Amino acid sequence: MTEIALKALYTLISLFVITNYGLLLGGTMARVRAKVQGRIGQPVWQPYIDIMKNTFRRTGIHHGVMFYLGPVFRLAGGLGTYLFIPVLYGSVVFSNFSFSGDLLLVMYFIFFGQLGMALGAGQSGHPYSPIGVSRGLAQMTAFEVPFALAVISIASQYGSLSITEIVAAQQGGVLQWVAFTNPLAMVAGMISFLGMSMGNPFSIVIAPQEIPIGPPTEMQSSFLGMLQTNRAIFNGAKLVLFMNLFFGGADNILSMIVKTFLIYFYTVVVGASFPRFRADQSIRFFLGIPTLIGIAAVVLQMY
Amino acid sequence: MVSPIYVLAIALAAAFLLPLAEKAGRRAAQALILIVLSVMTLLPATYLVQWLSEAGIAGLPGSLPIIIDTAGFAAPLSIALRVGYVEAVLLVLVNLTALVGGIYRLGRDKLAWRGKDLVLYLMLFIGVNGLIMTRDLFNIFVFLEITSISTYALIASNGRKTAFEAGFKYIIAGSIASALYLIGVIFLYRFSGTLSLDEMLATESLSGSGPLLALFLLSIALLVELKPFPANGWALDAYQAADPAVGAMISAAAATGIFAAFARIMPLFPDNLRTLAAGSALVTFIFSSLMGLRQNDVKRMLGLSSTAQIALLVFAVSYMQGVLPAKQLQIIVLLLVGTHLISKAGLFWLAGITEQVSIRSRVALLTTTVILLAALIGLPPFPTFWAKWYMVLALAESGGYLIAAVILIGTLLEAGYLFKWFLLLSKRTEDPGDIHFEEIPEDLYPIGQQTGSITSKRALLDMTALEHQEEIPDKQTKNNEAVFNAPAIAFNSSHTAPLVMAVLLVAVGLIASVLQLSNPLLLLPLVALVIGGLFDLFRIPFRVQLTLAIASVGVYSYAVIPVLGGIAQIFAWIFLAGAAVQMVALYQRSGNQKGLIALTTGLIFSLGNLLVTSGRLELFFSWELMSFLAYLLIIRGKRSSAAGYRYLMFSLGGAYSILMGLILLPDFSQVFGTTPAAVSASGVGVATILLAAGFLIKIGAAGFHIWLPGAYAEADDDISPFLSSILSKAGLFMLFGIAALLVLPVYGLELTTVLGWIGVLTALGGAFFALFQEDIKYTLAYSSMGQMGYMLLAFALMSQLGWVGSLYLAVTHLLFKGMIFIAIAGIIYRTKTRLMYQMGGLISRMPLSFFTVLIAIIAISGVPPLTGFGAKWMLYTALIEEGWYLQAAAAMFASAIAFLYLFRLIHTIFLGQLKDEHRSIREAPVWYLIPQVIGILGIMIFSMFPNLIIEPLQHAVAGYVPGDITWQGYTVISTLGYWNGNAVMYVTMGVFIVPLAWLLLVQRKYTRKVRQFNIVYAAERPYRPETTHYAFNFFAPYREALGGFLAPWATRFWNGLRSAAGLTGSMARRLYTGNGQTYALHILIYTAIMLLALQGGVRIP
Repeated sequence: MTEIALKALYTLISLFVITNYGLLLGGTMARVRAKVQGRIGQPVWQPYIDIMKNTFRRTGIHHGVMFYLGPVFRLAGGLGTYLFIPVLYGSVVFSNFSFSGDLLLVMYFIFFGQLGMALGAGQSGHPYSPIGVSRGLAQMTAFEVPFALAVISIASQYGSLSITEIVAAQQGGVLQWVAFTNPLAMVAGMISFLGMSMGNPFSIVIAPQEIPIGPPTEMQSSFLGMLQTNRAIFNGAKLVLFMNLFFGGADNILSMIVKTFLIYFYTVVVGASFPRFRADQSIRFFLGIPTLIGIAAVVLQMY
Repeated sequence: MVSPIYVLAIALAAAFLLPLAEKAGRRAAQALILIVLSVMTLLPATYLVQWLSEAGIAGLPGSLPIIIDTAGFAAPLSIALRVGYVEAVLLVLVNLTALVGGIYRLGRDKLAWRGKDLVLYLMLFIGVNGLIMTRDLFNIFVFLEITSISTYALIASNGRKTAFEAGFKYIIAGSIASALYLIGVIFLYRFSGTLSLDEMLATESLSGSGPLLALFLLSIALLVELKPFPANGWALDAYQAADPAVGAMISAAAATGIFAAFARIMPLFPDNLRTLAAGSALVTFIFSSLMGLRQNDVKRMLGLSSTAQIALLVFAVSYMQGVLPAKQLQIIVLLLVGTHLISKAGLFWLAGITEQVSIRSRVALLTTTVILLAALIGLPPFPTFWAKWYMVLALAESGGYLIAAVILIGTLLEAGYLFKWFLLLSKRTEDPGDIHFEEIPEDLYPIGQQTGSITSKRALLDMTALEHQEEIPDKQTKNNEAVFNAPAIAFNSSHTAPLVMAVLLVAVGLIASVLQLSNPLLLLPLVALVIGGLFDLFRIPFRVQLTLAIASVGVYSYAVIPVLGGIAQIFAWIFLAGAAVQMVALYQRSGNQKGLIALTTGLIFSLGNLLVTSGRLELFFSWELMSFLAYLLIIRGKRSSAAGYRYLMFSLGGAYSILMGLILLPDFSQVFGTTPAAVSASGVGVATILLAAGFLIKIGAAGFHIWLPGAYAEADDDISPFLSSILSKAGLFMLFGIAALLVLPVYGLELTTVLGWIGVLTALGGAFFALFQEDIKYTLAYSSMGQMGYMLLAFALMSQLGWVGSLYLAVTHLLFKGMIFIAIAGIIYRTKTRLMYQMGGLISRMPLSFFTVLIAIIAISGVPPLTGFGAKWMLYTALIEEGWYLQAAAAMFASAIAFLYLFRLIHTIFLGQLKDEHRSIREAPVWYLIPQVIGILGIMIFSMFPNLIIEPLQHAVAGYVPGDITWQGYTVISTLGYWNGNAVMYVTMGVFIVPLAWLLLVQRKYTRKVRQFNIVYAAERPYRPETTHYAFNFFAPYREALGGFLAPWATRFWNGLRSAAGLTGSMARRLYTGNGQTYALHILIYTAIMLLALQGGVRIP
């Protein structure tokens, strides 16, 4: 019983940290983007304000059960993904539920939220939502390929699919990181991360000018609030995952913050520098050079 | 015993008496003829009965023949006739065919069958009977002439110009043959001093070039009469021009008689002459089969089939003599000739019937056609199946693999054109009879009440205009209807004639099966077919039949499952328990469902029998039966004829590949189902490849898959689940069975690697094809193909995790694909469309179906926490463990694509905009929901407690592959990673319930549901559900991105192969100019070529 209570407490701590970190990170990066574009930008705590505003709206509409459940699925997907990843190496509090499964579980649990959200958005009946979903899913299948290749390359490198073991294997200095021991896998993985974070040039999913924000078009009030919360957590989860896979993980909060900030910053830099791809261009892009790099990473592990 | 001479005497007497009888009236003459033919049938039958009662069926070949010396003198001085059991059987069959043919004739045209026609009919059979009995060379000539002359006249008797012409060409050919024969006989008489066949066989003096030439002339004469390629144009013209009743007699009876004479003279021939005849026969067999492919005249096509079959017989007697023991060969030839006689006569009659009426709605006639065709081709349980099995087996054992292959290829081609004909006969009027390409109909605005708030003036105008638009009936449809609604012609005795033949074949087939199969379980499918047929005959209500069928499957499972062990038991659960659950959906049907229960039950039993068989014959028997019954089930669909045809051709091709593999393998039963490490046989490479290819065809592996989408999609909606989730796994089971062979490298090539890549391609291909379908059933069919790809890939790993993964996927695929297909059946039942974009928003009307589909797609796509993830986890872990990295990445890609089409499926059907015409439809019928609920329960239980399924699977594969999985509580641990399904479930439930509770608490008060069109649209408003529902060409950007990558390479390849075969046939057909002189020249050239071949080339003095 104590064990369960302790685990619950640890989980809450872990979630509290990642939620706040995710929100602040989002706010910071929005400000960075604004600076690049020559604006002053929003305050870093703006995401908190947005969520509060949306959650405590006095009116709200929904289009049916699946619409209602969509954001729930999405948030559950974000939470679940995060909870299956060990955040800090060697920390009991931040080990989360990583004993439930390995890297494959995390990779597939990402789909859980996407599927639920897509279904919820679908029931809204708004054509922009499925258009966005169609583009998003199509792009996802494409960036999954270099990512899968990177993961396979790492798994074969360390003979393990367990995230904890992969992080453990990278301890002992910067040069032990996958980024240096297996640079091709890192490159393939980090390119697909651009797609995963849906910033420019892979922002066709939410393409604001064309299909106003895509899947969540019909979302408002606390539905939207939930999605915004999820964005923070899910982003955090992905950043932690990539940090664990390629950059040696982290054994304290500070190191985690620095590494994840830099990983996120990289997507922002790329996003600020490139215009948007069309959906078919983005598919071709991921199935081209990044996939070849991924294949090279895998083939190198074979011999 | 009454002397067999009376068979001839009675006929002769009756022929003379006929004019007298005619005086008493047409009916009296016809009755006289039928009575005489009955006596001619019964008389030899009495001999058989007596021999059987004396010696039993095994002693029949040993019974003493009856020898009649005519005119009171012994053989050399007089003509001897002999009736042994072979002759007796032939006489019975020929005369029975004559009798039934008479009845057919009466039913066809009562008035026409009289006068000289009757006499000629009797004369023909006197000739044939004589040919069967006589032992005298010159007498053979006499009977040959009697047969030929009556044939000429009969051909010409229908009075058409073409018939006269054909009859005359027949005379030309017949005269040349007769002349050659006569010259040959004269020479032989000169060399041996006797005309008696028995005497001549006893003389030693028939060697040297003189007698050889004589025998050559003799053989050529008879061969020409037996219509060899290319000297058979005259015969084909005759088949085409003659009345089908006459065609039946030429093809069945006359050919049988001449063949009997040929077979009797055969012992005289030296080896080189026999080889020559055999070679000519093989060429004829192959070319006739090729030429049939593009034949569009039924009678000519049947004629080609006849020449092919007779050629096969000639080959059997001339080549197999040294290969098989004489008695066995006798039985094989007897089975072949008898089946050909009966089925060909029946088919010619059917061709005649179809000239007059459409048989597509006549179940009895369709069944008859199927039986006759199946018997002709040699499908189990018909006699030819057994004959061909032993023939091919013997050929292979004597090293004649190539010849065996040629025979099988010829048979496949023959099946090709015969079943093409059946397709045309049986397809419904609305069925184009060609491979169905997705047609996107021009969307009509639905007419009726609009509940979406439409106020646009333009939209209302459009609708009003449409409401007043009159439907212009399509001319073609009207014609079709006219044909379809034509008054059914009253019962006609001509229709019973083929039926009698079919019954006879079934009876003989059943007897042969009982004699040949040691395990009575193997007969169960046949019993099910017979009982099911009887149920239909006595109009037992459908639901009673279905209940009995489910019960019988239950009893069968109860008996079989506990006996089986290991992997077979897992498949038994899939095949039997899965089938029993899915059959519940059939309760939704009502009314008369002729044949459905018989076929379904027979199919399930033959599928189950695959698991209990031990020997190769039993296995092949069950396999072919299963394939064919599945074909018959598929073609019950509304537009499935072409898809079914494709399926059949691939299945038969696969079956023959398996057959070749089986006979090439020295000891099959020691290989099947053994551990991979136990076999170290050498020289089994080709056999392994052939077997694997056959099973891969059944699985629908990439390259062989082109039959699959149509077959699964065009079958009836409640049959598709069975085909795609159960039947598809038969091939997988067999692959598990031959795993011991697959691990052996073939010519340095690792077959498992090849299989693995085929699996990858299948998974990728299936997923990509599914992505771009608008038709929901095609989507699911391709999806099944993709899933089979994963199973194949996991199997090819030959590791414990791989095998458990493959079986795990097989079991869960049964659950989710069965569920989703049945759910879709319910939706199609309600919406009356299969095109996804025409649906939409159905979640509000069919919530239970939505829930089923939701659970199923989560499970299929492998999203945790449901069972599908277990399959993916095992697959990838096993692949990475084995070092198959690229395959793993490709499989992940395929599974991501699967996610795409699954989302598209659920979105376009259930979400988005509800169409006006669907506003009042109801939830799927309860009979569809029951299997779905069972499937959901199964998925939920296995998701929560994966050990419930993984542990039994681990035990099942324990003896075969070394283990590397361990358990720690609910966590399954591989060398690479771990997975705790139970914990994942709890975490997922936790993270799901907390936000939901939050939402319900915070939001409940303020949120309200809004109407369909109440959506945020910037500066426009939704026009109609159709224009607002984003569904058609859902993944357009993907299509664009992939470009030419999606070209249907496999379809092009197979179509190319088909055209090449058809083209070869067409080129060969150009030889037949229709000119009698050319035909005569053909015969001379044929003779010259044969002579040259006999001499070994041109001799320069």
